[in-house]
Amino acid sequence: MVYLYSFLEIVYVIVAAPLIAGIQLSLEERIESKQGPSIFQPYYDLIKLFRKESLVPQISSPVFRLGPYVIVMFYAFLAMILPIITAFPLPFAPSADFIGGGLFFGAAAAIKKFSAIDSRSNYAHLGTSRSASLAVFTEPIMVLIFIMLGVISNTNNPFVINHVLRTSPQWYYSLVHGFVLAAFFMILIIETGQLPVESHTNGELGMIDQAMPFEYTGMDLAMYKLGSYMKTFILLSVFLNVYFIPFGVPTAHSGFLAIVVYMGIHLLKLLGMIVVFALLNTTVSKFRLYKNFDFLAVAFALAFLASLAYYIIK
Amino acid sequence: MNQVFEILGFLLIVLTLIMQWEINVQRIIFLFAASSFIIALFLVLLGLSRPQEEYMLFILAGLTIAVRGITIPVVMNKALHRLYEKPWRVREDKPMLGVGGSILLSLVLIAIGYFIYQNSLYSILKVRSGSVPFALFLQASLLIITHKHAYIQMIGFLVMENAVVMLSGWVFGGLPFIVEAGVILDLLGLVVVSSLIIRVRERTILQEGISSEAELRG
Amino acid sequence: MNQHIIYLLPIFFSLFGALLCILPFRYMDRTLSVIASVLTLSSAIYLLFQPSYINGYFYIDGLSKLLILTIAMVYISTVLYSLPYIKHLGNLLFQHRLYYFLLNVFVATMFFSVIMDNLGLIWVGIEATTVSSALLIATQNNQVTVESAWRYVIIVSTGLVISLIAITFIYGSAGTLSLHKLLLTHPDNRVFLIGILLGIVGFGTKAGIFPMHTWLPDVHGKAPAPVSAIFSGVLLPVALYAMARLIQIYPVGTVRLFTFILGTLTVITASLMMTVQTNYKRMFAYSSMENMGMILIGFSLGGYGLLGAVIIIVSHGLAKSGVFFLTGDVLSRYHTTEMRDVNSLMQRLPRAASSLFIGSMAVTGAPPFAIFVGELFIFSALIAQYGWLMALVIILFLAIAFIAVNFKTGKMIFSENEKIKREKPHLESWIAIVNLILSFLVILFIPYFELLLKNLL
Repeated sequence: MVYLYSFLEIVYVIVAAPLIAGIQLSLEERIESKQGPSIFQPYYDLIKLFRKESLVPQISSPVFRLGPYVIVMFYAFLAMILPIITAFPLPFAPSADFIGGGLFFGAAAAIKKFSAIDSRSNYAHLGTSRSASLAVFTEPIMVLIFIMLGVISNTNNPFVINHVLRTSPQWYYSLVHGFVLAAFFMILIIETGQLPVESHTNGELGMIDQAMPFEYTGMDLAMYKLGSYMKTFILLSVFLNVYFIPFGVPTAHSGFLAIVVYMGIHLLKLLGMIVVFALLNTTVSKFRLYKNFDFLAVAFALAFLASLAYYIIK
Repeated sequence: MNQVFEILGFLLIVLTLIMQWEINVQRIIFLFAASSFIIALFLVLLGLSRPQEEYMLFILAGLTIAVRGITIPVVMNKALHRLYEKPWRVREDKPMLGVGGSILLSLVLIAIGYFIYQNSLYSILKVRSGSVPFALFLQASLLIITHKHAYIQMIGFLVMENAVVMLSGWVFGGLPFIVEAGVILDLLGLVVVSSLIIRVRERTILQEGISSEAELRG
Repeated sequence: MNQHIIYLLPIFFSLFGALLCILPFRYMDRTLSVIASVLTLSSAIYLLFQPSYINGYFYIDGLSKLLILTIAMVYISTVLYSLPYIKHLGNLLFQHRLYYFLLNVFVATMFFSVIMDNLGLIWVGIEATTVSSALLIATQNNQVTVESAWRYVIIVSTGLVISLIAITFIYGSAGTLSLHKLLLTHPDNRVFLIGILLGIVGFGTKAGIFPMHTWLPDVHGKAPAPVSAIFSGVLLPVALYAMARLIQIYPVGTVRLFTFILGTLTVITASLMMTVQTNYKRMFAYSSMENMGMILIGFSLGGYGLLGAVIIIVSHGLAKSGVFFLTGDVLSRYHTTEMRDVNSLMQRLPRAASSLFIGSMAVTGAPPFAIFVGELFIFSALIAQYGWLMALVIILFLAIAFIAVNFKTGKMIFSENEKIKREKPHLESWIAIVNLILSFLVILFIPYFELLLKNLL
């Protein structure tokens, strides 16, 4: 039965991830009083791209081809080990704790960068170097955030953290948790490429992640896009299920029906986040590239304040 | 009650952190007004937790809102309006530290305040998280030291005063009413006088440019 | 109740003068200020013969009375000197009325600071002196004076915040801020000690004590002469008064040693800085700082050291105000504060020159003057407590200061130039001469001081 849950989780992530992206795109257009695409547009795009022929730059190596597929595989694996639709560990969950999950995210990002560099395109290089220089600073902040949650729960297991935050209000309503949430939200904005950091246009002065898949086409591009949808989906799910709204996630006694119902609730939670992001994307203007580091400094300040608050209030 | 104080204290720390990297003077004045309102809220809560002195503390909270929260920001804003054509664009021209630097330094100061408090004063005072007002005090001094714009220096001084109010309330249960009232009146006088001085100073700087300050060596 | 009101007469008269000054009548401000200061002085002298007055609101003992007297004397001389001086100044920041108003309020806040029983209210009074005196510095409106006024406000207020923290510490540990209750309770814990030490550092900012003295030379160098005179003569001692009270309520070894170290460092810094000054007003500002250091040492020693400190306060108040008036005379004729541009003073302004020479001897503690006697008292206590070596070190720096000041003033006064003829001075300097004579006469009243300070010695 639990293997079924695992399978269900992967399928759910792969199927629902483009939907969330579609809803966000549509919502942003609606807020700007435009018609907007259908919320299923990402599916149409993916289907179209899957049918097309893939072109590969002459001078690239096999890494370029393999990259997107490995990335999707990594994210599918992450979907199995993180609490997305269940609050109890599924069979593959013991293979990695939070730090391990972080390493997988990092590995996926690294493979993405390698394959982008391998295209030998100037724009891909530009995007890669920018993305890498941001990641150098986001990773320590992420580690700090995980350490703070580890301090709260005495473990690195996301399921235990979920349990602790769900059952003990003195931690859920504490300053530490508040600062960690704020810091993690800012990291989410960077990792999922929302507005004050990144706009989804191809202006070469500001683009970061947007520049990396410039040479991809057809099926490769489809996998690449699916990978980024899944990344956003998984990160948001972790943020919501583990930290922000740890309530209502089905436990081991809940049964199959509860899990199916929870999928809907989970989509609603994500919808809430998407509305926030859409509002952000339509109201905030983009930072200059170098100002992103100030943004990171603020995120670091919040994460650091969380640790200070833990010691000061203790 | 202690937890509420802690939340208010950290809110003040975050507000001061924002002041640290903000360069627009009007926004800093606004942030100061917000922190004064938080101080007033703190005094009200303090009054609720100490039934025997509550009226004095409520009056004090009212005075704080009236003077620190409204009058002082309005006076400073008026002075800005008289001095500049576009007061909303007045800013610290060449900040000594960038955003990242000021944040990091500020965080280091908070940590230093914590360590000093924990290793020296905590054993004497026995007050949980009493290092928050000290951290605020240190941050305010950083605000004064790293900024050249007179209004921001003034705000740094006022934040320092707020930190003292918080310290006296949190750690020692408040000063006598008459002293606090005197302090608030002094502050009002100081702001009026110094906004006059600042106005003259900025006007001469605007007209004549900054001359060499060799004559004031300290 | 009725006879108690007399203790408030000085503050009442000066405030009264201030309020009437802002009425828009011609010459009203000057006449009223003179009348107010005369009344203040007479009430201060009258107060001297009244018994001490200590209750929950006021704490007026011999020390307060002597400070009131000094403030009143410097006040009247400042007003009298301001009459001609302010008239000849150009480019004023505000009208004459406002100058006299601020001067009177400033004096009233100083009176307020020295008569209050509540330490918190003493703080309020001292902060109020900052508020009322900041604009006085910038009486003559130019970029440098305004800048120094701003520095004065921000440095002094920031320093005073430290003493406000100290007051919260004292209140938190002792449960009261009333001086007479604090004197009775003698609380003995570390919070109280930290409070006292922080308070000494904080008030030291205002008094020009070592680590945070930087505003002092700037302000004295740039303020108009009467304002420099009243700052140096009485504002600094008023801040020292608060420090003396802090030592008085907790006279343990740590506090005394801490204060002694601060005072010694002040004397050393001031003496060394005096040797490199090229601006005569700044030089005399550092001389004030050196005297404040000596007074602080006296307070820290207690006993006859305290008597010596009070003698220095009174005589330095009079002598230094006289010296600053004379620098005003010089400035009004030479239009510069640089020493190298001022020469052959004796030929041009003989009366000002000779009095300036006597004045500089007086403020540096040359033998016949009262400051010398005060320093003798302090050294007798110093040798008893810290031994000969320490005394010799301080005497060495005092000698450096003495030589620096007198050599430099001597150079200004006695350098000869054939072409220069005697001129009619811009300003009459008889007030300065009166002040110097009074400062000399302080010697005669030392036994009476001892009588007044009996409860402290």
